[in-house]
Amino acid sequence: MKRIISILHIAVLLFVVSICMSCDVVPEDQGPVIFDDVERIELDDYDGTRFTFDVPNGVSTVVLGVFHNTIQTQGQTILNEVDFAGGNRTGLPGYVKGEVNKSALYEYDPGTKDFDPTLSYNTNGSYWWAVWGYDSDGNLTHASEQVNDTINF
Amino acid sequence: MRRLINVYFKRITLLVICIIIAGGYAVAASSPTIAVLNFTNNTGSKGMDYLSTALADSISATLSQSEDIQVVERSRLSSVINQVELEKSGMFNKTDISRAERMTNADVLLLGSYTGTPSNITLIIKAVDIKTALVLNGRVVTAHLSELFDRANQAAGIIAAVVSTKDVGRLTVSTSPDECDIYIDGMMVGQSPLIEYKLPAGEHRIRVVKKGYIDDEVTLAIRTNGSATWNPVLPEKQVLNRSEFSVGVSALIPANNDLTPSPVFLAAIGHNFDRWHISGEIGFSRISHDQVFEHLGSEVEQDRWYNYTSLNGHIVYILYTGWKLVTPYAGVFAGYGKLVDYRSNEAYEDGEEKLRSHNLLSLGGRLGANILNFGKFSLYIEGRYYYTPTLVTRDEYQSQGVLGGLVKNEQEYRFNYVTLGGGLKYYF
Repeated sequence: MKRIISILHIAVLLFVVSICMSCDVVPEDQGPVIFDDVERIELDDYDGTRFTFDVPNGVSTVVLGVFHNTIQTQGQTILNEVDFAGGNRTGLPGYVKGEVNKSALYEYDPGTKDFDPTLSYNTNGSYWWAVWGYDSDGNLTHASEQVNDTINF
Repeated sequence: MRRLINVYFKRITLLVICIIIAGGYAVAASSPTIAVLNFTNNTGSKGMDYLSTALADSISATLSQSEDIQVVERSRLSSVINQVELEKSGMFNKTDISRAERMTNADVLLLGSYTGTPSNITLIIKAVDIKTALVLNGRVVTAHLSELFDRANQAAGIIAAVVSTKDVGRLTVSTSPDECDIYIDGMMVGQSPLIEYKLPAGEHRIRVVKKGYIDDEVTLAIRTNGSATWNPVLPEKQVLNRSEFSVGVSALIPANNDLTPSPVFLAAIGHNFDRWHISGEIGFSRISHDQVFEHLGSEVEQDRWYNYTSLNGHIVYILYTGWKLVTPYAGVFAGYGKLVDYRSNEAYEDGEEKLRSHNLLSLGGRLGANILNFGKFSLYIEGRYYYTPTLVTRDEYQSQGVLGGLVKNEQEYRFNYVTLGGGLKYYF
């Protein structure tokens, strides 16, 4: 009888382990992506000079956003626009695929809801940053988690 | 002097007499005298004996109205009929004919025979030259008893016209399809094909008629000793009780300017009930309504389209059936339409995102024409107007810059449109 119970214990244990292994769990060191219904963009690092990240296939426009506070979203919209400090994106000077130097950050312009490439952003401080991307039809398809770093210009 | 006057007087008198004689001869030559004899009853039925004299009397009375011929009074012919007895056999010989000439002073004898039953009597009419005993002209008439007299009078009229002049030509009429009734100058002369039919020279109005087909008519000039040929092809009338299957394509022109004119493919099956036509139709169209907007410094063109499937019932009335090449019609329709809105989106497996689906009632009218009818096929062209009482919601996408994804702006409109196009019909 004991032998049967042991076999059952082992079977249950194997089942639980297999379930856990098959789950698409978020690693402990990764936060949730900032927008709903998008695929993840992996952030590599901010080394004090450059922001680096992966750009998946199918993403035609990438945006790097830097915020004074945590980025608050609902669905696919950023709610705390007032905290939007600056950033860069595909098509603006200084953007290289998967990489943006801190010297290439521009101020956010609420009038155009875009970055102003004529105004560099260079205020030291602690910032929350994230990356998101659009496909060629303008659909928001990818986003990263947000991370906190101190940026000194 | 008196002698000279007498000579001139005699010459003038002689000239006048010659002119009178020549004139009389000319009148006589241009107006032959016809004697209509009794017809021989070959039906085998005593009850149809009355037609023998009744047909002759009727023909005689009809011909007497013609200015081109003179008809011998039938009462003067009794002695001839008794002596010659042509009517008994329908045959004749030179002795009988010459005897008839002496007794009637006629130029032509009109005689013949009939056979068959009251529902289908065949009458043979011959015109015989009384001097030569040659048959100048002949006609065969087949008709129901109720129409026999009219047909016989018509045939005799044509015979009389032929024999009253030496200016005779020939007419050949062959039709497609065969067995069309042929009318010459308003008189039915038989069915096609009509081969080498003798007619007085001059212009004649020829008309061919067949049930289920559109009549055709022409005026032909028949020359003396000449031949004229006419080969009309009669198109089928569009008012037959028959079924039809059609396929076509039209340009769909939406009332909403955001939608692009697109082709709509149609297939229908229906049935004609005389001039009314009832049909069911299925249609499909892919209607593009791409959207262009500014997004992060560049112009984005989103591929957007509707897949529209429709099922409609139609009632059509054929407005006019008398034209050969064109049969115009008008109608109304009502039905169901399913309008599904898509846009391209690479986030989806097949690259397309289904946005909305609408179930629509559609109403409308159509105006068109069947053209170039050839056998079991015809082409058609038509225009339609579609009205949908239900409002359709269309999402317009707008960029919110770097603040996130696109936002939707709902707009409502009526999916009304016009179609212009055509196709092919098959009748069965």
